[in-house]
Amino acid sequence: MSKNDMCPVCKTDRYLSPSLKFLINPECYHKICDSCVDRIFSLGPTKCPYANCNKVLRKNKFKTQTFEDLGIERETDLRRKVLSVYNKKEEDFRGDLEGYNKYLEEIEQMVDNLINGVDVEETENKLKQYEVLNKQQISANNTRKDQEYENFIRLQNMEKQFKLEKLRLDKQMKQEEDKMVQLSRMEMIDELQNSSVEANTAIDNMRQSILKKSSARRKQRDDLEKKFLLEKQAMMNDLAAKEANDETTTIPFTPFNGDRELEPRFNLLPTYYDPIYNKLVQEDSIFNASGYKIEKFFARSINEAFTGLDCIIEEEKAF
Amino acid sequence: MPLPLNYTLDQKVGEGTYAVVYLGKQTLTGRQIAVKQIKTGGFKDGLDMSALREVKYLQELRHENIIELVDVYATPENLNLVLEFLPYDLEMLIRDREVIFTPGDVKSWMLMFLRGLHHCHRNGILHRDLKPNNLLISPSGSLKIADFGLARSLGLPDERLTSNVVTRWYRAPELLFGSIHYTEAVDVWAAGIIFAELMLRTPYLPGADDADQLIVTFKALGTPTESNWPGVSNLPLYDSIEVFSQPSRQELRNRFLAATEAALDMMSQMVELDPSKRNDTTGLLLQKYFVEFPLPTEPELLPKRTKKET
Amino acid sequence: MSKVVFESEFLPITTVLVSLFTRVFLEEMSVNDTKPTTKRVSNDDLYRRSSQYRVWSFTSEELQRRRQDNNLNGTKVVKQRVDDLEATTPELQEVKESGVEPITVDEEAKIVAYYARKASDVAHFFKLPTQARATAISFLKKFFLMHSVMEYHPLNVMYSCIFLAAKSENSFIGIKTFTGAMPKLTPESILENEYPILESLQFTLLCQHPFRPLYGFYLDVQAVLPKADKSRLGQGYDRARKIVNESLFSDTCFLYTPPQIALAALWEVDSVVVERYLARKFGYKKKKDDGLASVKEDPSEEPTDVKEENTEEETKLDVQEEEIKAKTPEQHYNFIMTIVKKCSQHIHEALNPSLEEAKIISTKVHFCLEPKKLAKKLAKQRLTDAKTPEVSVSLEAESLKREPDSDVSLREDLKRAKID
Repeated sequence: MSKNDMCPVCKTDRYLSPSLKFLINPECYHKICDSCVDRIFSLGPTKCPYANCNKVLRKNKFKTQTFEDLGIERETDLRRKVLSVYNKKEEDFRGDLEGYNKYLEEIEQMVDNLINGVDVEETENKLKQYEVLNKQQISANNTRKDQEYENFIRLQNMEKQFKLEKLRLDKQMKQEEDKMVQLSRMEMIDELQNSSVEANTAIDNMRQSILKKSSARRKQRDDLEKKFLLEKQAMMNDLAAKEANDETTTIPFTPFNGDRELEPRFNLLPTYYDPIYNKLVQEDSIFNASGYKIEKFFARSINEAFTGLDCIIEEEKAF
Repeated sequence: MPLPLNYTLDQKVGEGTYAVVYLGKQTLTGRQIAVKQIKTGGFKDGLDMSALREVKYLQELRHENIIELVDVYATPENLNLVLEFLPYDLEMLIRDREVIFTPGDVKSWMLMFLRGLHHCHRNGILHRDLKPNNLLISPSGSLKIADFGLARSLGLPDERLTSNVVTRWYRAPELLFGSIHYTEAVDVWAAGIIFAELMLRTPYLPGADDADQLIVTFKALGTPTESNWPGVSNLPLYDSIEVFSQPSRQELRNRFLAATEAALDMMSQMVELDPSKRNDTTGLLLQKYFVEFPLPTEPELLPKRTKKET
Repeated sequence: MSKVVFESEFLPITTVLVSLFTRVFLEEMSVNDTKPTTKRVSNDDLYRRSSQYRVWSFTSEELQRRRQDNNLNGTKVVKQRVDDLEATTPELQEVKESGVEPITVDEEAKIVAYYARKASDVAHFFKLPTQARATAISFLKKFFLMHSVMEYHPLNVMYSCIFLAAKSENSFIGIKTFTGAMPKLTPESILENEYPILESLQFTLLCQHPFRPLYGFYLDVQAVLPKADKSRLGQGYDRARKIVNESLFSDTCFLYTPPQIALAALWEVDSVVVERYLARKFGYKKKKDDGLASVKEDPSEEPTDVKEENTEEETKLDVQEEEIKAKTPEQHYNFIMTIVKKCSQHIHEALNPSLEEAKIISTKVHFCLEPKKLAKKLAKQRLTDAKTPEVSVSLEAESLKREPDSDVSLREDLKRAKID
């Protein structure tokens, strides 16, 4: 089709440059060849070169077309935009089917508006508002998505590895089987020629050893399968645990869990007047080398001074 | 009811040079407990120092991540420490090949460990014998620091401490160099080595003897010199040994394949050669490592031992 | 027999909520709390977890009650001993009939105080550091809160306490060295007391003394009152240390917390500095009084907070705590000052009996411990009375001397203990 073979901007066609590639920008979906994009937009954002299109385009927003129908391309882009903000999953609604359906309705409504150009500004504002309000949730969901993807990849790799191992073991087993067949053939020939006891025993021994090896191999293969299943299980458990976690941790994690005083009751000076200890620690080089800091001793002492200061034993221990 | 009847002893689970450990129950509540019977008499200087230390410090340290001293009672032959029942330790888990650790598990153990250690340090107490063997796991998955037989409270600056503490593989470089004025940093070093061991599933710095320990440590983490540790040459047992360079971040990444950047950051701060540059428990608990994904596993969901005791 | 129990703490209404939260927090602490914790652990809460607070802190009524109970028990034991006497001689018969005079509560307090001071001297003799010395004295006093002197003579208990304290505070003295320096002491006599002492202590070995808090206050005053004269502070610290030493022989360690005792000592020595320091610390604007010429103010000096990483949750919790424990600066200041003054008074109620008084009580104690001795003494007395009456006085003195492990050893030990 001529549409696909010639760039309307530079009029280069596929005959002249066989590697002609087209890019589109989600602003206006006008097709431009990649060399034009380079030429026109490298110096900064400018107007789209198409005649009546006044949209200002940026170079990094250009991408290759995935669908032949530009309409569909546009719709998917808009849908992706909405979903990047409204990124909750069914689990997040915890059984609230109606709530989930309402949520989905809302999404569809917004996408529809954007596609058909109805209340565009209003919808865009709604989107922005939602993003601002739920920033944390959104980023958490995103990280979850990334995590899941990571896990998926990890699982894939594990499966792949497992398959390779299995293949290898199978191959070895096959090899041994072949050897066995060969051996029995040799035995037959041997017997037909002459019955030499020695050769027989030798062949027998070899058969035993191969049998042993193949049973060991079989066991290895079984073990491998077991291990793989265990690992997979562990990973699934981990995921499940993580998901259970995610549901409940809406509160930021605190490493100390409240187990400490945040504001110290004193202001630690860089140095104090104590001629004896200051001198001791400065002069004896072993202190420095051992990481001994006199400030820590000072801090500890002052801390002790405030440990129990407000305990009124007379009252607290009254029966 | 005389005290020994408050507890019923069911089976012997361990015997050491100075104590025998039994598993049992607290009669009134049915709670499972362990009783450490320490032999008295026969010591010319009276009650053994390690026993005294254990009792002394466990009485003061009450924390979720430190073993609980339920009771103490004396019989004519023994001093009996009634401790909470903790079925196994981290060393057993690390060695159990059928148990799989996820990064979340490692993080959870380190979190509980550092919380317990932080409690010790803020009370001015050094443990001085941290190793996976002394980190016990409760039936609900909680990690608890145990064995305070070598512990000591920090006193005045001019006190001299012995440098012959901590099991060799977990001994900080300032101890290897014979320092007598060390600080809580020696516990942080041991914690760092334990962290490494959790990630590697094998001891990180296994020296064959004291001299070898120096070499193993410095090969892995670099030799201390005046430039990276000012003042080190003043330590009593400092010896100019072969200079190994400190590992680059990429080398550490290659060694610790499962570790994230934040995990390596934290570990590097714990195995910092110069003790004055080593971070303390407060700083470590505030590290990014604990807030980034994966989050620490809930203790109940942590992996448990699979093998049965023989 | 001993028992270590997490005693329930009865707190006044104002802090009941706080304690409830603490208890809940301690019981339900877990790695990933899905609900935020409701209370931060303050340093005072940490003190409340210590064995010194749980087991060895009492109200004055409780302390008095314990001493009376002990005394009663001791009297009973003595009576039992008397009843168990076999009246093989007329003197023994007499003792059995008329009994042995028991020690009174006041006498007990006196003799224990006397031996506490002697323990300090012996500790000096062995060049033990302050911590070990103070712990030894603490052990001795605690032992006699659980037993009467009529059950154990304080002399050997004193030596055993010193030995045990030296072990516990990393200043170990080998038994041979120990007994070698004090003739008449055998390893058995020291070691046989180790168990009873540990049991009386209820196996709580860690003692928190006011020395470190005193040092801490000395440092903090430099920060809060930066223009105060350093040598004045230094001298104040040295003198306050002596007062803290004296407090070891009083009951303050049972009635007050170490920081309170430290402040009391410091206040005695330099009340102006302490009052100004506390006022500034709690943000209380006091009316200016005289005597401040040497302590210059720096109005811009405010304790700056060390900002650490705070999550939203943590700051919210702090606000909650503040609401619970609302005490105005003035209230806080007055509250602490009352305690300080009461404590200071208590320090000076420490007993310091003379050698004579102690000797008299010690003799009585010996008779309570072994009524046979009383019979012996009576016998000897009769013998000398039968001879010339004039000689009786000196002979009586002699008979006292000849008694085994009596005042002689005491006097010798005293002499020895004075050696530095």
